[in-house]
Amino acid sequence: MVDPAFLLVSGLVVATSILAIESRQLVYGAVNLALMFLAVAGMFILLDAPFIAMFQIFVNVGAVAILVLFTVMLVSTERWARVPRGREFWAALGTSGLTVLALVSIVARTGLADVPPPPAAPTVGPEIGVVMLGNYGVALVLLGILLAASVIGAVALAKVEKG
Amino acid sequence: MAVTDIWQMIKRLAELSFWLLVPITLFGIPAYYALERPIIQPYVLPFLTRLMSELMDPASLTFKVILYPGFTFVVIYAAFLVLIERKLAAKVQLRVGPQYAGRYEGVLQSFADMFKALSKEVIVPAGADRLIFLSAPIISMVVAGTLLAVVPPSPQSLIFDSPVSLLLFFSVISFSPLVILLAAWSSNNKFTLVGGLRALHQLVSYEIPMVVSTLGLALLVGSLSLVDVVRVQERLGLPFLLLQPLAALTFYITMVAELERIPFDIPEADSEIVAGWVTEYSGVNHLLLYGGAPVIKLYAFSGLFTTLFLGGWLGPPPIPPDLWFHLKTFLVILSVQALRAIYPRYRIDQLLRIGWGTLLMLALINLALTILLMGAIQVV
Amino acid sequence: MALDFTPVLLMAGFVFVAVLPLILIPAIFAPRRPTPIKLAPFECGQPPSGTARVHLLMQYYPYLLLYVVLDVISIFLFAWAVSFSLLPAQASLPLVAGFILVLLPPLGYTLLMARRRELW
Repeated sequence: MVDPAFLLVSGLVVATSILAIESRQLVYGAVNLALMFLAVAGMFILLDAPFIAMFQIFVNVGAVAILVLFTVMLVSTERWARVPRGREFWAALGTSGLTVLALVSIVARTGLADVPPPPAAPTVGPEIGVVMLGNYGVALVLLGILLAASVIGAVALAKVEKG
Repeated sequence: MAVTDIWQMIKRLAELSFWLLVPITLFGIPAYYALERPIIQPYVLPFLTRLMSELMDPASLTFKVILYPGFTFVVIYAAFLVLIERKLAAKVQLRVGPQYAGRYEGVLQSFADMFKALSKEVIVPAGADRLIFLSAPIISMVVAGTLLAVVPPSPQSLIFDSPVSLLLFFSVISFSPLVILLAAWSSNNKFTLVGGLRALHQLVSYEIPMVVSTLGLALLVGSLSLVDVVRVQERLGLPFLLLQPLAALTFYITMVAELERIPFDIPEADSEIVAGWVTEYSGVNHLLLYGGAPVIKLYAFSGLFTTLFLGGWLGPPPIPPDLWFHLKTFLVILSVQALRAIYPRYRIDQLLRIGWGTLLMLALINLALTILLMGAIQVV
Repeated sequence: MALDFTPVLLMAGFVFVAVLPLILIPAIFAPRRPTPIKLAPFECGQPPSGTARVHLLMQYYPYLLLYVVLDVISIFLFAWAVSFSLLPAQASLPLVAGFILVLLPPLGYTLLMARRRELW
């Protein structure tokens, strides 16, 4: 019925993200975050987007997860964070369960699962580049400006003011 | 070895065999008769015969992954590379190097080291995070091994190629700072943490120049597949070393920095912080983290350098393409190992300034020059 | 299906399986004699004291922030580079030149900030 690879990868995504949030030891949470990014990259590969998958691993695992881990290592003075599990947990579980049930019933009712996916060739660099620079060139430069502003802002915020 | 040691080993072996054999016979014999041999006949025997036949066939994936150009070949190659590095450094420093293991000039030294490491006590420091501490060497080896799958020695014996191979290589490399940081932190030792942070800054700083320096190559080739890179060099008749000298230089220097080799071995810095982030590891873990994974990465990086800039497996006929690839890779590895014997070590601030300033500038200049070059010769 | 990444996964899996015996053999055969000195963190002989002086390395924090951004930028540049021959050069070059030029001020600012140690 369903592709076993898809089940495996999506199971990994869900499992690692739950572990990332619920780990009591913060470093384990950061490591699980990196594993979750890896699993999402696997999802991208299954979706015929290998370039985006490489983008995901290179940027998210190679930069973001490392930065998170670095911060957690230096900041956490006690290694075990004990969060009391209150009534909100059961409310959240109930709400998310209802949401999943609603989505599954929508998919089953409207026959969305029976629509065959369009046969796609794997999307790699050249096609992406053509579209990115052709249609979205201005967006690219704006993105560059945004990134530049974020770097300058982050560095300016992180430094200790004199006096 | 003391008598108590042998006695302890015998006790542990007896314990292990008890806990393995008794449950297997207790549950296995009734299951064997009751369930009509469910596993052996239909599954295990055909699997074994298929495995053996695939291992004999040089074109099958099993052969490529396990034997050549995969793991076994590289491990044996790596063992000899370690020996060659020690001998080379020794000859440069007017010493002899390892000379006792093996009949001739200590050729079996690496294997002796491996057997020795297997018999050493594995010490996990007090307060260390056991899970991360013990799994860091394994993950480091898995990362190094995955790199091997991307480097193609020749079109017939490549494990994997795709339109994003180059990016896959860089993505797997970007795992290294993560593993090092985990290994450093889990040792519960403030000096290893400092070494790990230095390693993080170094690897992170030299990754951008490495990636940007291959941009010129991507411009010329129009694809990120490594086989395509060599094919374009074949068609042009020139290795990219001549067309992109700045990129080759930048890539070479960043390669040495990514491998944490001298002159960039400040994370390891064995006159300052003992052995840097590897300090608390002993026995097998030390072997894997300090000598196994770095040498395999050295082979993978040199293979990539050969593929990108020296023309991969290209060369005149009497020598087969695989051998050309390995000859060129070996020369690159030798040059990187020779640096070890010659240069002093960079300080962390010098190192970071070179990475972010000089090398990034060189890579961007190379990009500009490549654009002009493409405009001049209209390479498609 | 899509690009078949199974050889890479196979290689990773095989390396994992091949390294396990190297871990298991010392776990079985190597001696285990923990003493307090062996288990203490190693500081070249002197007794361990104090916390880690990682504050010295905080001046290089801007480099890490810059790295995250340049990581993203370089992937976009890869997407441009492999499609360069498919696009009219007059169109893509000014855009990419603008993209790179916009990133030079943060680079300069970061290098400047990292050099001034008194700010950290």
